[in-house]
Amino acid sequence: MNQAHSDALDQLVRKLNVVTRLSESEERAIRALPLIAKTFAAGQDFVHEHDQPDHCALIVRGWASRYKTTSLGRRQILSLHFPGEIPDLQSLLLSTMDHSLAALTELAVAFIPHAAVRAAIQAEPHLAIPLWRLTLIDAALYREWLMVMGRLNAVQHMGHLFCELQMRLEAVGLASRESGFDFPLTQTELGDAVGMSPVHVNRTIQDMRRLDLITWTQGRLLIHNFEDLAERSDFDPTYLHQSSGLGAF
Amino acid sequence: MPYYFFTTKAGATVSDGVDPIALADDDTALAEAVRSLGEMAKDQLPLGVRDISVAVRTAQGETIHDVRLAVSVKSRGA
Repeated sequence: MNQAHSDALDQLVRKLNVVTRLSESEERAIRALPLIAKTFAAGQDFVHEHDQPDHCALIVRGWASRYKTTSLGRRQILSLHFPGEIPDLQSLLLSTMDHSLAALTELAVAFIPHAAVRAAIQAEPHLAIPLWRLTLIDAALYREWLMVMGRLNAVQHMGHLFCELQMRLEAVGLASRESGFDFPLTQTELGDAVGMSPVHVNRTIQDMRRLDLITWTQGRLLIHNFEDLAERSDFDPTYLHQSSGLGAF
Repeated sequence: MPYYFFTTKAGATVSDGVDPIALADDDTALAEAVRSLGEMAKDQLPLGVRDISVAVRTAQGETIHDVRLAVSVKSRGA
């Protein structure tokens, strides 16, 4: 097993351990999964809408987006994804993709054959629980994004997204309160994620700078006072289900 | 693609477009200005702001569009 392969599986084990407590034999089953490593350039799709994949895509390095496009070619980014995540996990049980996945940065992906995931679950049935939990948390994110999209103003919407990213990236060791996190999106991509025109994104970011809420320079974003921004943005991290309250299993 | 600067004004608050935006052409810049007016209106009108505008400048500093949305209210007895 090469280092990249091992790093990818470390990230997956870490991610699964956030939502469950893997036993030694379950962790062995995960580490035995075969991977096919591929890299993609920024902007390149790695899973297409209407595909019927026979692999799941584990993100190893870089950022990815899940998106759909209207018949007029207008893109809506539906969610953002980081190392350790499997954004097309649903393809294990729903054969046809109803959205696409694209690289937002240069992206390293490890493809895991569905057959190998199914075999691991058959050997270690409890592994189905953390995978199920990940898809439930995915659904919780959509409920939150829908509420934010419909009911918050532009500064709150952006603030809510930045708080979410801070917490999700912290959970995988890619952000800290002191130094913030890499934020590689362009203002146009950010607009596609929050459903705003680039002009309105531009104005909103300026408002946030004027209010001394954030610094965003050279692809890095720092929230000046997380608790303050969370309160202004109606951000309650319960929907991320990162800590307690996961219950039995 | 050419770059455009957008200066927005909502009531007394002016945001100078310091970050240029790359767009296909002047017509696309106009479409984006109009779209952003609608988005600003959603946030600003409930706050009592009644006048919103967007000015579009080229990279050379020439203003090519000035788009404005004003709301007038006539109430009974006023």
